[in-house]
Amino acid sequence: MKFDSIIIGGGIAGYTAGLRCLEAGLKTAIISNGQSALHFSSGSIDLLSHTPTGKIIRNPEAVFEKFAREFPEHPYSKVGKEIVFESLDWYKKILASAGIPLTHQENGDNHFRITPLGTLKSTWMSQPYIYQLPVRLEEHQVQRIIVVQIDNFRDFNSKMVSDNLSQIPEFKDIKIKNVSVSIDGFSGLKRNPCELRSIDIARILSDDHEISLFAEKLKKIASPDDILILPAITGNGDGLAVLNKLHQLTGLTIHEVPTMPPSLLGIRLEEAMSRLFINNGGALLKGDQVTKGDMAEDGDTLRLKSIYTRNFKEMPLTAANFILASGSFFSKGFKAHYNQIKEPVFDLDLNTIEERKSWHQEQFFSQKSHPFLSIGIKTNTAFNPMHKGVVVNNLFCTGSSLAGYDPIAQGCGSGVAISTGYYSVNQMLNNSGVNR
Amino acid sequence: MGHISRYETEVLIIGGGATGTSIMRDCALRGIKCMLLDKNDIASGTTGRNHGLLHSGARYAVTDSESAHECIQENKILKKIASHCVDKTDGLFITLPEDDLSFQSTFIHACSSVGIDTQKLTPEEALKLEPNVNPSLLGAVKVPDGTLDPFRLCASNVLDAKKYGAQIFTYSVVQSFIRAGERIIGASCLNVRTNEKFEIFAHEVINAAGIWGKNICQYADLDVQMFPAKGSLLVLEHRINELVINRCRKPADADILVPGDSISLIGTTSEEIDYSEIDSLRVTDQEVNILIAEGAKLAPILEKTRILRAYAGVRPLVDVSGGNGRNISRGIVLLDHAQRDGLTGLTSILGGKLMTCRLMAEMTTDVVAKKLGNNSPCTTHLQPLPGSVETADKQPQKKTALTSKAAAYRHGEKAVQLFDQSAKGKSIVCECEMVSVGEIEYAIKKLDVTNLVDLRRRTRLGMGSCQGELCTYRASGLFCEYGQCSGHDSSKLLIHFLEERWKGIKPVLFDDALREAEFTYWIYEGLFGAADVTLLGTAQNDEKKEYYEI
Repeated sequence: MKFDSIIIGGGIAGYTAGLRCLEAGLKTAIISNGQSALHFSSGSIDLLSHTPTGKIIRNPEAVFEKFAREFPEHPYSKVGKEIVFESLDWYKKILASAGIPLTHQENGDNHFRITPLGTLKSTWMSQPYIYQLPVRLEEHQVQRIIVVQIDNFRDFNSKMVSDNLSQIPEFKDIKIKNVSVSIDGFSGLKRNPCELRSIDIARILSDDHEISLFAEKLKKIASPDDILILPAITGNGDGLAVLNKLHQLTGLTIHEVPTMPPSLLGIRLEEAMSRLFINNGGALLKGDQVTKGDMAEDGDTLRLKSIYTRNFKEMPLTAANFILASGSFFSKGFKAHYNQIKEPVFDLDLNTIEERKSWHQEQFFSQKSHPFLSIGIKTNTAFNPMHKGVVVNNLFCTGSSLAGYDPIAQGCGSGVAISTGYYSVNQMLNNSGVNR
Repeated sequence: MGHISRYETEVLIIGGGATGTSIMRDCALRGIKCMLLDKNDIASGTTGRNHGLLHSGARYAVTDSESAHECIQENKILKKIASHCVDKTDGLFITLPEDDLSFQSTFIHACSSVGIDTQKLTPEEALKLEPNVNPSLLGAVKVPDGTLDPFRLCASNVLDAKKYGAQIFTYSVVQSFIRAGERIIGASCLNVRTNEKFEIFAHEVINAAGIWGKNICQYADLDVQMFPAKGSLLVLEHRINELVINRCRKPADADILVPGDSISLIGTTSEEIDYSEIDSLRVTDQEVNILIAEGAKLAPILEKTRILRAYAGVRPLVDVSGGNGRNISRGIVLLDHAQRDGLTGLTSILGGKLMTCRLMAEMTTDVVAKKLGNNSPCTTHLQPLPGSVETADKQPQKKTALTSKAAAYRHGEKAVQLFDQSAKGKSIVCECEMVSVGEIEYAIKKLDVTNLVDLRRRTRLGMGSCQGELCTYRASGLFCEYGQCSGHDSSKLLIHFLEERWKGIKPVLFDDALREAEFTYWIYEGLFGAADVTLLGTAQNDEKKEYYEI
């Protein structure tokens, strides 16, 4: 099988690159091995919340140049301010066209979203039913917060949210209330209604009658001036349709909070991107995994000629260019052996850390980042990787396969994924070796 | 402030491990009023940090016939009185090409001389019984080894003792002894969770604090020399062996592979450590290496099996030389301090093994009962524990898909009848170990569970292959409902559990353990923002704010 470009990995970086390739008129395939990190993500786009030294960033746009000078190894510094914001703008447009309008603060500030533990996480662009709390929290306009507990739903606990929220100094004068709401559709199920996951509830609530019953209950407990915190329990396959309806029926200010995985907020993004990719003519090879590649010498560099997958066995998949968006350890982009970390498909050079005991911090949760999260592939400025020191000129690395940043501690995972996915396709199109 | 609760009892037991809880039960069954104190949860020290091997005694037959004899006696008793804690798997002692096959006959002879049944097997017979055993074995001997769940054993001891009026104080430490001349009459205690002080007055105090017993003796100005020996183990993702597998040679490092419910354990190493290290045990890279390499000799599949976590315990070895040089005993050491040191009111029971906990309790309670003028005989070897009562004759199913059966195996059928039988009560929280909401409610309300780590010891929640990835969040919410926790407290319990788990994962942070850790971190930090929970309401919350501006 022959393509212009093949993308390895179906997360946010892979889809960004795939959709950009299609826009450029390339015959494109994405090889995706099952669930991406989006299935347990917030569905918000994090741009940059902290420096690698732990300082808080409130407005990423304002400090971008300074950041790039100070942290030249960070992927953003290589991509550059212009392309980073161009890519986010582009992402916003294509998601809106797929029915998921994302918004951010007009002044470019980050905003806070409320977590399932009632803490605040700084992010940059969110879905419409995330109430954007100001990152300068003292400026908030919140009067009252109502946290909804869905009866018998264990993957979201309203008490944790409300009790922790009320410990935040800026919220000490506002009322935070906990209310239990039942969903009628739970009775009459064959399954034990106390074992339902978010996607099961989404299926129940996609019924018009069920959602209007639910809306009636919510109207009784909150008014439009309140922030109504709801677990993310709608939108499995139907995007924001059910939430839009709930909003119409109630007029309430809804703030969706992710649940224990599966996280519908993230799944919505993946579904929107996947649908767009297929509708625009991309080939999505789902449930397949790249096993190896054939490299050939090309001057003093290397060239990836073709790859092989688990499903296609000995039949090669060839392309002019390849994009690596296979993520880190969880998605098997990297493999940790007893005392060594490797990129398992092409054996690309990593910025690895020698001693295993230096891969992690003493405490699991602390303000310090775990070094293993910053391990990644070493690249040149065009994001071409190296194999034993030799550049692979038609392979481009994106997202969490890249070295030099910690997506969680620095609050930049999705932003890096989008901007490097976007940038890599630019590089690919500029690549003199491009062969269409 | 200033009010200090005072309790009176006949016997105060310090230490809630296998020995302490067995003494608690023994006293209670003889009609002696008692209270038990532990600085942590029950079974949280050495008791819960070993193989959980129900020794037949075969391991000691050649080198220590006294221990071997004690083991086989207790093996038979525990199978009767604690059948719900025991899995009668049997064990193999295998001879590998690098071992001396002639040791086998010495071994069989030594076993039979202390009454341990043996059955000599050909390599083919051994492989048929245990398909994962190293196929290059030269021979094997089958013995009546098994597995013993120490958490369940301790919880059952406590549950039974409470029926007869005994009381337990977990997360409580002794701060000093209360003395009347050359007599100890009680202890000043502190609950480390609530910071409440209290006093317990007792006619007799029993020190059953294991390796920590040296500290307890120091409170009485007594000197006991103890030599802590660290033993490290690895937990494997699934049960790779049905029988316990040993090497047929003199005991050495990493030569026992023990199945346990849904997992297997390989251990143990042995390293003398300094007494100051007993509360900060670390499994080293070298130990992990040895355990994998030696374990793979027992069952080669081990090398390809995911390691869930590592942990270590401390053997409480006692110097019995009385200060003249060094004579370390691995056996039971019962010190009547009235005789030894002229201090009445205190008895120490040290050394010993998980296997001999009931025997140690009997010996200690005999001494103490005599002092109290109580002549009731010991009955702990005859009366089945709760949970074992109705199943004394038939072994419950060891693995089962049904929650009620899994719970019955853990707590006994009578307890399961007390669980909430509604749809909510029956709903499953931990899918790996089939733990229901009803079982968690029972554990929180009846089994002195105060946090998720205690809950894991009582129910196995989070012990299966997912290591509590998702279920601990669900379970922590139940502490709000059944344990009068605030939402803030229950989220701290969740973080405490994940930090405890991290201790065991760090030594084996490679392969799937690293994958899983990354996943956990994404969820609990990336999605849930857990790190900030511990800062809430503290001064640190404001201090750390440093902004990056132009």
